Amino acid sequence: MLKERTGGGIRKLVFAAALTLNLGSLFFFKYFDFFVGNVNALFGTDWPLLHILLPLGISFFTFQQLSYVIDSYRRDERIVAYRFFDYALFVTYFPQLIAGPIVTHDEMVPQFADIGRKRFNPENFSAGLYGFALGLGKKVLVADTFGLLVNAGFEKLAVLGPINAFLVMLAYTFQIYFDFSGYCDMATGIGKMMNIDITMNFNSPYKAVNITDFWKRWHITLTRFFTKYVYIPLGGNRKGAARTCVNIIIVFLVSGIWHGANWTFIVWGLLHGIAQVLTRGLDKATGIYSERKSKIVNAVSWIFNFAFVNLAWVIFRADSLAQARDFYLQFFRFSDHMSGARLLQTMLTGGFEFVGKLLPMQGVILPVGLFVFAFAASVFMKNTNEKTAIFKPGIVKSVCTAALLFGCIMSLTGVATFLYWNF
Amino acid sequence: MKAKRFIISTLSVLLAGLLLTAGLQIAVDPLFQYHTPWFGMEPVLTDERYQYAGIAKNFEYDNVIVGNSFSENFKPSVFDRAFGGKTVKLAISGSTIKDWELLLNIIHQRAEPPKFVFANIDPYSLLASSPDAPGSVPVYLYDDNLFNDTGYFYNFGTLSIALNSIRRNVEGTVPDADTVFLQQARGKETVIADRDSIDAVEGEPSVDDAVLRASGNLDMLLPYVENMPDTEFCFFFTPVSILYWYKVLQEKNADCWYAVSYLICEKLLQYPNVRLYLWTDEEMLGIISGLDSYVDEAHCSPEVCELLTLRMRENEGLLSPETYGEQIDKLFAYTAGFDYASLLGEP
Repeated sequence: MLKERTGGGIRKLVFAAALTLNLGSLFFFKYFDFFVGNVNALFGTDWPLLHILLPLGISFFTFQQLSYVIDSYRRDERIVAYRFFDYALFVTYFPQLIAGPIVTHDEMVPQFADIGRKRFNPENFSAGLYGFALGLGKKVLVADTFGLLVNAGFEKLAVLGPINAFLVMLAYTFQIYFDFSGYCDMATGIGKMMNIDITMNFNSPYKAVNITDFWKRWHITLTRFFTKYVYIPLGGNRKGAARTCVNIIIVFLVSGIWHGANWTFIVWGLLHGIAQVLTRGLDKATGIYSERKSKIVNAVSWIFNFAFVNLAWVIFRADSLAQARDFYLQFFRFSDHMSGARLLQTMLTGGFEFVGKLLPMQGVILPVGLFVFAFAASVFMKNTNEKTAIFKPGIVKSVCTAALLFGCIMSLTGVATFLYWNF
Repeated sequence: MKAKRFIISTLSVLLAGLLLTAGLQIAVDPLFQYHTPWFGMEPVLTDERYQYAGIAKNFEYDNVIVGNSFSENFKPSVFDRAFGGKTVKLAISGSTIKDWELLLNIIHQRAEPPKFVFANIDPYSLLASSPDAPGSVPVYLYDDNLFNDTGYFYNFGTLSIALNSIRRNVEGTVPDADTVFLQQARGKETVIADRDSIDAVEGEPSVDDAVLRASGNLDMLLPYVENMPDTEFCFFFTPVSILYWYKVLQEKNADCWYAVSYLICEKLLQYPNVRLYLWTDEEMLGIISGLDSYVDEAHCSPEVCELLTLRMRENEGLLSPETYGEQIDKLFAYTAGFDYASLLGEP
């Protein structure tokens, strides 16, 4: 496809075939039943659903392959030098294969080829081990524990009431962040142990003061992919304000669909797209973000943004739009709801139950403590990438890393699956 | 601290923690996976699902009780007196037939087959879950694969059981294995007040589907009956209370239960080493409709279970290919014609 002598027709044909193969398999495995279900609902047909099992990480490795194919078609000169082995390793490199980040060939292949990175490097290995332990802890100890409360909350949706609904919503906000970023931290940590720098995917997204800022910090590599391969080819911001808004909405709709085959994801994407357009419009009209940079404005804006992100995650988590609506209605149900303490106690399993038995009022103190910790960690503390970057080995860090790994191993039996396996 | 030293110390501390934990778990073995308790400790029974596989593997016994919560209120000591030998109870509350199959597989692999296997059998248990559904027990404890035992060693839940086991032995508060999971009768008024709600049903449940599901479940047990010819399998129809029959009727499941009851008899009575019991005499019908001897609408008291054990010893209520139809019809006629309105105080 790259060779100069390859004719334009053949290049286009190969390119189209490669796109079709990648997008076709993604559509077949991930969206076929959704498509058929909607056709059946719309036209009253009775086409059978296939109930296909989703290959692990298909959305991630498909996008990596797409970026490779598109860059090949665009005659990226670096690709000429790659061998098949380089390509295969790039696509199947295990740390980030299942749940990202969505890395690009120019980030990874040169590192694989660098002979200097093929030697054991204790500095990198120790920093990677530390980062991996933090990531595993985020996933197993924090995200999965919030997951218990979220699952229990959605099971008892009809009797949540406003306080429990708020707790469940907040718990999911923390669950999805600690789950996904924990996984990415593990990937980055393993990469670091092998002297490979994997691109940062999360930069403390809950510190964001507006939705534009949020998407510069959340799933950074996905935003980068859509910017490069969807937003800019659509014209980006070069074709006037109206077209820019349309392009933004399109990108977020595609992002919603990428996250899952359900109307909930599409609506979630649409809401984020609208919020993005409104934020840009507000900034353009008043300059509150790009010019004034007032601390008070940022603080107020942070509150609105965090509230919006939280509320939007409800749709993302819900099985259907109707379930999301029922969830929102719980904010206005002021009587006959379940006990908040009972809901909080669903978090007390594994290590938390074990430790909790040693504490007074364990049923409330530990879960509330975890909420406070999760909020502080995601809003005020340094993230894992920052901690790994300034990592200095020490005896306290060593014991804490070992204890964290031990706690995670002791909690692994019976824990939930990765949220982002389905994406 | 240098990076190399960080790596070595971190991995060493981690390894030491893992080895210590594994050592403690193997020595105490609170789930009895490798041995009966050492150091003169008494077995502390706290978790049926986690501990019964180990008991099935490593304890000495002549008779075994399997099943779900319908068999939970039986006392092993009563069986010891009635049938001789040593009896262990491996009935797991809320278990599926798949779980029973896993236990029977362990029992089957023992050098000495048990003399008796006792188990409840009833439409409820055979219809509760699909034969294709996974069981409800931690499978890694029910197999011989040593590699997946890491789930046992490295698990806060099982570590907690180990520490509790030590504490109970030190304090001398080990629960009596004969009575530890028993639940007492709560009286007619409470049973009626706390009864389950009736599920709304649209249309009639399919009898064919019910028979297919029950047959699939029953077929998981039959190979053990066939392959353990020297073991007497004593199955008994669970005497659920009349309130439970009311639920069955209201949810339009009576036809399914009737067909599955026949299926149970047809399949099990083919085997010479099977004894199948169903009690429809006046005394039992009085117990199931009296409700005073029930924990809830489904489970009868330990005293009733003791009575049933003694009846099994005397072979009272023993079904044969000639009698089972008459007995099933009698039970279903009684439950269908019962005056539920009077019982529930409804007009």
